[in-house]
Amino acid sequence: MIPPWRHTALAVLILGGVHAGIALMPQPLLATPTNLVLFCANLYVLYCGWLVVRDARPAGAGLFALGYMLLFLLVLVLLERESLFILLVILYASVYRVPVLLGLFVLFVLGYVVFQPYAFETFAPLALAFLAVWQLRRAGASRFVQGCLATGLVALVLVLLPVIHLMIQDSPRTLQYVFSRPDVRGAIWLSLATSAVSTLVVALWGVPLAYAMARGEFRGKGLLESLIDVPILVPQSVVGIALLVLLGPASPLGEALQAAGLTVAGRFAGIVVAQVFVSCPFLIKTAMTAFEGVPAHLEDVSRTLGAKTRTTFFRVTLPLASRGILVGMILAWARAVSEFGAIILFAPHPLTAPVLVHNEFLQAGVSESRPVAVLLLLVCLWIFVLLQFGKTFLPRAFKSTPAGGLR
Amino acid sequence: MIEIEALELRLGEFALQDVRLRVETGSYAVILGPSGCGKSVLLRALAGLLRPARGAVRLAGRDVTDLAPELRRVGLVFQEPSLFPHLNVGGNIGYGLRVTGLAANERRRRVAQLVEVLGLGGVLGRPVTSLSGGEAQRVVLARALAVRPQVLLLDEPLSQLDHNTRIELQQELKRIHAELGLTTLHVTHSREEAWSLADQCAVMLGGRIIQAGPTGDVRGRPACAFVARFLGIDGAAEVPVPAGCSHGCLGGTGRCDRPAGGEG
Repeated sequence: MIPPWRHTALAVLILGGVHAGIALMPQPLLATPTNLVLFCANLYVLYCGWLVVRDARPAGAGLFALGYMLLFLLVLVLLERESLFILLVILYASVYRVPVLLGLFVLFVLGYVVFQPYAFETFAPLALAFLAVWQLRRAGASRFVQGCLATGLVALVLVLLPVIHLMIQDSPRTLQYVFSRPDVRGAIWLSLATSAVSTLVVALWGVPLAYAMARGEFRGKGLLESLIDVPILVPQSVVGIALLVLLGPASPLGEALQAAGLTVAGRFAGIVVAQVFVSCPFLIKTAMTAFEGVPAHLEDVSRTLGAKTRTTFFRVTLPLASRGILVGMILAWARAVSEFGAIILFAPHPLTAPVLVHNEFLQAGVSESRPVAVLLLLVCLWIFVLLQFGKTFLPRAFKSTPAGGLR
Repeated sequence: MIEIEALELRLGEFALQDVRLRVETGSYAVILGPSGCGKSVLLRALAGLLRPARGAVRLAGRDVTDLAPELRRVGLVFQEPSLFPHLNVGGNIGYGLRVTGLAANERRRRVAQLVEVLGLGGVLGRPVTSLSGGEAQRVVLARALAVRPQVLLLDEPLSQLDHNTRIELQQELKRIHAELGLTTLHVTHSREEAWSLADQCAVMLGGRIIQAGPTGDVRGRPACAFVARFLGIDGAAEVPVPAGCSHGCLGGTGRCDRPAGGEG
């Protein structure tokens, strides 16, 4: 793939003239060595440009040149960074003919040159989003669907930006130091323990309720469904106050419990009570959908084979709904571990991690509370990802046929 | 033996009306009828999955009308694929034996026996998702037979299969019936299945049985024009019109308006 020699000679001569002109200026814009390297880089760019034209797309040459000019204006004129410019144009010319790489390159420039202080947190998620849309395109999805995905993903990146940004604020050493503080360890441990307990408590009564709601028909079922959603609606502070009014030290029930040695407010149990309240809808709703996805005729078959309804539930329905139930438990756990408003009012002691972050912020400000926040975030994300991965080991309920694809 | 006496069952708009049927021990009966005639509902009622409002069901001389499905000892095969996706082939066949608490070695012996009868040797350890439609239906059959039911109820067991597999499995059903002599009630809308399998057949329309009897009799003397047409018998016009029949069913009303009690 060698261009015809007359074109080559002409291009080299013109390009040489431009660079010689720069070198011969009374006050050269570029130092001689830089100028020389840039000349070589431009030669390479020209060669790549010729390849673009050779692919029989004259309009492509214009676009190629436009991209070059944009880089030129942005990096050389605006930012005045010659070596970065040389690096970028070589990259640009190399990837131009491979659309995926070109897209990633544009995002790279966007992240690392334009949004420089937020380079990683813009480039990494945007690149993933771009690759997702690209897959849709390869699979032959319509432009409308591609557009929907792209818009949604960009907005999602923007929504998650604060969290992604926070995640990479502190060095591992700072985090290690913060993690060695006993109060931080204690708070994180308490948060994990209480949320695990409250998830189990919700599962214990939420799963049977969800099963009954999914299989049974009764009057008032719609009302009951809305009732289950109520905890999502009630503001966290209101939950805290409500719990204080019912179970707090000054209430009759609270006093009775205290007399029985079962104080709830300001104890481990109090935290669990608040978490159970806020997290139960997530588990019940998801488990309900999971049970509805188990074909009812499988239960019928099980019964005709001699299994009682209870046996059928444990041997057929529950295993097939288990994946959905686990998803519900993950959601409930996530909601429980992140609860702050009700806990700080109802059970501010012992300290859970979100309350600790809040206290650190009040006492020492953003920069001191930040590492604690980052640590909490990382621990929670790690467990979340682990659980999400765990669900892939559970069976899936098939609504349609097994292989042999009959429908 | 299956005895159904004056069975009535309401299911929303639909109703089974005064269904009477008697299937002798060891015979193969086929209920024919268009979609929505209530043949599946009838099978589900026999299996105990639906509760009749009136009437009685006796299986092998035992009144099971108020018995739960798990106590009736019926084998039910559904039209839709109904293997448990979380168990492999062996687990599916052995399911009924497992839940009824049969010892593991006895269970293995019975599963092995059925695998031999149905020619499933190659697929025993496979996940059910990897089976073809025909293999899946054989496994379903093996699973139903494993618990040694007193009657076998088949709800359009072949309707979701392709032509060749259907013919093959039809022969298989015939062979198994000859081998085990199990009282079988098979529901379908395909007359070919009925002619090839049934000793005894019944035609249903709109929740009623409009004719029942030995297959040869039903074929030779259709009770009315609808039966003749549905069974593809020539000369539907010459069939005598029963008393009280308006021939509305031929226009596609989906129900028989003859006064009750006139079943053949």
